[in-house]
Formats: sequence, C-alpha cells, structure tokens
Amino acid sequence: MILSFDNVSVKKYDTCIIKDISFTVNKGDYLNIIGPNGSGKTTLIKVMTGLTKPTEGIVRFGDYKLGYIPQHLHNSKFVPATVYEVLKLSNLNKVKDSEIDAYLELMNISELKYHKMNQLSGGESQRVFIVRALLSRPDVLILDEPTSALDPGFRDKFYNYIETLHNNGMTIVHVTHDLSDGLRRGSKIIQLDQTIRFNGSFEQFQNYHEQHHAEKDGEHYHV
Amino acid sequence: MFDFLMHPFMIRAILIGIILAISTSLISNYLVSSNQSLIGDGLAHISFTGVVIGVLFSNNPLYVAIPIAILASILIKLLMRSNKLHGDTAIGLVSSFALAIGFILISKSAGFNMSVESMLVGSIFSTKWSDVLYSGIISILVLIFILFSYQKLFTITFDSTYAKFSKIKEVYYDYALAALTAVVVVVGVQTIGTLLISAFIIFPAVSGSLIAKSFKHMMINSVIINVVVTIAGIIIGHFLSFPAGSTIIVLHGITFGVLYLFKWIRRIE
Repeated sequence: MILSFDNVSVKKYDTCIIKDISFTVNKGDYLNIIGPNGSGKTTLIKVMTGLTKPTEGIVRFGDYKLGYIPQHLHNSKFVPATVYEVLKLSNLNKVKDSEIDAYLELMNISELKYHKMNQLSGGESQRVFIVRALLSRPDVLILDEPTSALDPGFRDKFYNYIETLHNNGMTIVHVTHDLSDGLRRGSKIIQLDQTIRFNGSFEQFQNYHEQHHAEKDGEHYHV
Repeated sequence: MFDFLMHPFMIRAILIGIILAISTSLISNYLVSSNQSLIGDGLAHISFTGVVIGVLFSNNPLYVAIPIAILASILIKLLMRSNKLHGDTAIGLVSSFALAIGFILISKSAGFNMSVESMLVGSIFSTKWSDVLYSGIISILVLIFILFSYQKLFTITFDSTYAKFSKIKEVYYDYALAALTAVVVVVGVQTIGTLLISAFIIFPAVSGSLIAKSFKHMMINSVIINVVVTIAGIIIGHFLSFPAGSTIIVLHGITFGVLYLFKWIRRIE
C-alpha cells in the first residue's frame, strides 16, 4: 500500500472542500483523479502530499518517496535563482550535474540551464518543476494538472515519458479536469465532486460515462 | 592621506561597519526575497525600547535589549503565522507598541543618560572594543547559520510550498532567521541607528539583485556592495562631519539608483 484514505474530510471555515473520501493507492497503480474545477482535486492532492491535514478521517502513508508536480508555481518572483540552482538545491539528496543535464535534455530545455527562473515562461517553468520532481527519484509521482501550461505538441511527449516511468514500476497519481490529458487503458479513475462519484477502472468508467452522459457543469469529457 | 586610520575610534568604526555589513547583507537576501523587508524596521523600533530598558536597568544595554528583541521577533512571527493578521500588520502592531513604551520610559526616567538622537541616527564613532567583539560574535553566528542552512533556506525562500512538501521544518528556520535578525538589529541600532538600520537590511539585497545572474551571485554582490558602501560612508562621514549612519544609507540610495539606471539602459539597448 502506497497510501490510503479512510473517510477523509477537509473543511475550511465551515465549508466542506472534500467529504468522506476513502480509497487506496497501491504500488504500480496509475490513478487518474478527475473532476470539474472546484471539485476538491487540489485539496485532495495537498492531503496526499502532507501539505494539508484532514479535519476528519485518517490518511495512512506507506514507506515510499513521493514526487510532486504542483498545478500552480509558488516560487518567489523576487529570487534571481537560476534553473540550475533550483534543481541542484531543491533536492535534499545529492543530485549529480549529469543527471540534471539529462533531464533538462529530456524536457527540451537544456539551453535554459543558467537562465533565471523569473525570466521563464509558464510552460518553461513547468518543465523545470517536472525535472525537479523527477530528480528526487520518487517511487510515486503526483501530478496536479501538470501540462496546463505546456504546448500541445509537448504534452504527448510528456505523457509518453510518464507512461514509460509507469511501465518501469513508478506509481502515478494524475489529477486533471481534462480527460484528453493522459487518460489511458488499464488505469484507475476516481471521479471527484467534493465526494467520490466514481471509483473504478478505465473500462468501467467508459460504461459509467456512457450511462450518465458526458456533460456536467459545462465540462466535456472525451473518453 | 590615511592619517584618519591612526585614530582607534576610526578603526573600531570601520571594523564594526564591515562586520555589520557582512551579517546584515547575508540576512538581507532571505528577508527581501521572501517579502519580509519590513521586519528589520519593526525590530529596530523594538530594539530602541530594549536599549532604553537596558540603559535604565543594566550596565550593558545589550544584555537586556537582545532578549527583548528575540522575544518580540518570535511574537511577530507567531502573529504572522496565526493567519489572523497580515505580516506587515503584525510588525506594525508590535513595533509601534514597543516604541511607545520606550518613549514613555524615557520621559519618566530622570536617570536616562543616553542621547535619544544618537539612538535614532546611531553613533558609530563612539563604539567600544567590546561592541566590536559582540558584533564579531553575532556575525560569526549568522555566518554559521547561513552556511549550514544555505540549501534549506534557499528552498524555503524560493518555494515555501515545496519546502513543506520536502519535510523541511520551515517554521524553525523562519523563527531562527527572525531571531538572528533581531540580534543583528540590536547591535546595528547602537551604531547605525534605529531609523536607518532597516535600510541597511533592505538596500544590499535589492541593489545586489539588480546585477545578479543567480541567487549565489546576489548574495556575493550584496556583501561586496554593503562593505564598500559602509567603509565609504564612514570615511566620508568623518571628513564631512556627517552622521556616518545617514551617509551610509545615502550612499546605498545612490548605488541603488545608479545600478537601476544601468539595468534600465542595458534593457533598452
């Protein structure tokens, strides 16, 4: 078991953000967490990553190393840090320069190594944070809408690489509101809207989806 | 030409200036980068009252002023982290409350034998060798803290959310940095002055960042700029009979203006 949620709820000022969530992530899973904006996906991820504590319920963590690619970039725009400094210093385990170079090459941003982070575009920054997560050599990679700032041409390459990591044994937890992003056969799906509306396989979700129509709150899911 | 260096008070002023310049600029980079520039200003006001209480009740004001400033820095951080008050509000509340107490104490104490003006604008030429020693010890503490925490402080400053995710005890580093700032500010208040010490904390990092190619570069720049400006300010202040603290800050202002202009012209080119 990588982690499990038992009846987890998170409240903020009397408002319930997520309610009564129970599920388990096992080693080797490829879990997609889907739901419209405001459904509590990011809060769920924050509980998973230990950034938010649940107000009710229990979260159990196995002894696995987590890697995290956040949806929003929290970096300070006032810090003149270079890409290299961020990658070298943000990982508390020692990172070799050759590893940094290899991942920068993989993400097509080798030429940005000594550029300042506050001069990069949203997409370039996001690629740096993908490299930062991968350099921590995680057993589980948690991706919160990881391609929101990436150009469509690079998205496919990114998801192909994530699939390769999964095939090599990495557990993937992928959060998205757009099912054209990275949804794949054999993966598990949790549909969230404050509470869990669906929890099952990709194939089961297709049947469920056909029965309940694809449209909800203006969101179009193309499975 | 260098006859002024024959005076022991001048040697002490330059030594204490260099020591303070190094420690304030190292701290400056983290405070300015994480939007905490004004904490130096708030702690300076609190230190003023700490020094007043120290003068009234102790032979060495530092023995009283340092614990008061550390406690106040912790109180400010507690208020900032409570989510009940915005950061600047907490600094404003605690510092103005402390400053008011300081002025009441001065007005009601017949035995207060220190010039309020010298506390406000500093008196670097009347420091003792013991002040140089205290500043040196505090600077070494700052240097050790920065050297051993460089990686973690960088991560916290650059991306505090990722620091929390990486299980860095961000809260401890935050309190430690605030407490160290408090100690540096107390020493600085006696030499640079209550009104000017916060500029001594803000200018180095801001000017250093204008011409920095990296965070490491920013730190080196800030130390060089602060040391050079401080020595120049002390010497110019001595020859023109200006208050040294004020001269240092005016030079910092000019340095910032020149670097800002330089960067602006280069961008246009």
